[in-house]
Amino acid sequence: MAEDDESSMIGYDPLAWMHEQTGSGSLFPADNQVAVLDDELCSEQSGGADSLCSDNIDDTSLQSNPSTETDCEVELDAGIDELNEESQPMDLDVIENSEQINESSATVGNQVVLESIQSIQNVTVLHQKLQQILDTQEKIDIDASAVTQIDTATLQLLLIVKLSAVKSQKEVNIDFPSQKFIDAANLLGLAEMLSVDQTASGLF
Amino acid sequence: MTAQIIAVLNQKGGVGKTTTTVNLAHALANMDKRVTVVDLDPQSHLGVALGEVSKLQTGIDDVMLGHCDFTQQLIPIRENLNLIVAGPRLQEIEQLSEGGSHRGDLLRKALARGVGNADFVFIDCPPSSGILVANALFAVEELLIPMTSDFLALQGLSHLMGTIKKFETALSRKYRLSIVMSRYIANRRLSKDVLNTLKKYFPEQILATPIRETAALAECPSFGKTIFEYRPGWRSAKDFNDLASDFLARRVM
Repeated sequence: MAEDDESSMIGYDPLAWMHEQTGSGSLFPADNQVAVLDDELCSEQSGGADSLCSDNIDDTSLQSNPSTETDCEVELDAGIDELNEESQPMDLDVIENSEQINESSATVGNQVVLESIQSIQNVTVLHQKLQQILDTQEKIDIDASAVTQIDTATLQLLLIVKLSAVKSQKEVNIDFPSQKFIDAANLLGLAEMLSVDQTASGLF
Repeated sequence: MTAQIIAVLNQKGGVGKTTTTVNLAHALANMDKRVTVVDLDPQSHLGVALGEVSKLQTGIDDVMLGHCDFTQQLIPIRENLNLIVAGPRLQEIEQLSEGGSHRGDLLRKALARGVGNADFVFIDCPPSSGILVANALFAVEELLIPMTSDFLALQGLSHLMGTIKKFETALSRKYRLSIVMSRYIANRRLSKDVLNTLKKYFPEQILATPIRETAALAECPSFGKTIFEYRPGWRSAKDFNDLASDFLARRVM
């Protein structure tokens, strides 16, 4: 909340992130903060994979409720459970191919850089990473410039994360989306809901 | 002398980009500055607001496509004031999906070939976040952001600042940024709160004179006139004269 003054006519300050960034001493994180997913996250991934096999799946399924209005009501974790339900046949791959998962994305402070191929195999790890950042930051910038292949599960995940963030008055931005990303989002009718920023699409 | 090239942008519609461009440019022209305004909006509202309504007239579209130079497209529209219209092919450029980074660099390259003898070039950007705005951000070093004093404009500004900061990172340079309060309603509490919020985040960057909301400013484009022609003695004309002085003297709130 931006205004300390309770009589202010502005309830929520959308510019607050600018002071947060400035307060850290730099508007932009240093390059040396870049870190690919570490082993800890991979071990969490195993736990996450276990949970994929659980029967505890919420009935408010993305699959059974494909409309976007229904999607809005789905909480992040429940939504991920549903995504994982779709991914069950691939669970073993998810566990065994941890190196591949490691390379699904990289982080720079509150920025996440998506790697070229985004598939259902990466969804759990990506979810964990985004959730981790969202727990501690007011904003996530997802750089989608390198994406050459993306499936519906990943797009659903991004949508759910974005909607959950909105509820917490946080922000998820998708920046520099590649043409493939835009095409996929348009195909699923999610481009507007994802607020895909096309200003610099494919330019950097 | 090198022209000062300024992009007037805000991806939110209705904040007064075109009104600011037209009237600030004319105010500066009246102060004997040589000014060129460029319509980078495929809707061609800038041209219409200055009385240039031909839909066939080529403009910045042909310049960006490399078919002609910037100076060849100048239309002397008022004393000291030149116009380059949008042109019928600007919409095609907005929809370009091929060409990689090249398609974002069309305007910068076009301007680099020369802009004539103008003191100021104002680029009126479309209310979108597409390839044309990217071209403007690649091409200029100075931004003028018209802002209305409502919450959604703040929300839009947050998004715009995110985009601007990403360009600053990618291009390794900072923009010189000014904000002009547009359509300002002085007796509304929300207006003051929005202005105070902006002052907090943009110290020394908000031009001193707010442009007050008036019916005359909304009416004059339909006559193809600036406020100085439509209602020269009215307060809006005074606001824009004062704003032009602020702009030249870098006088801020």
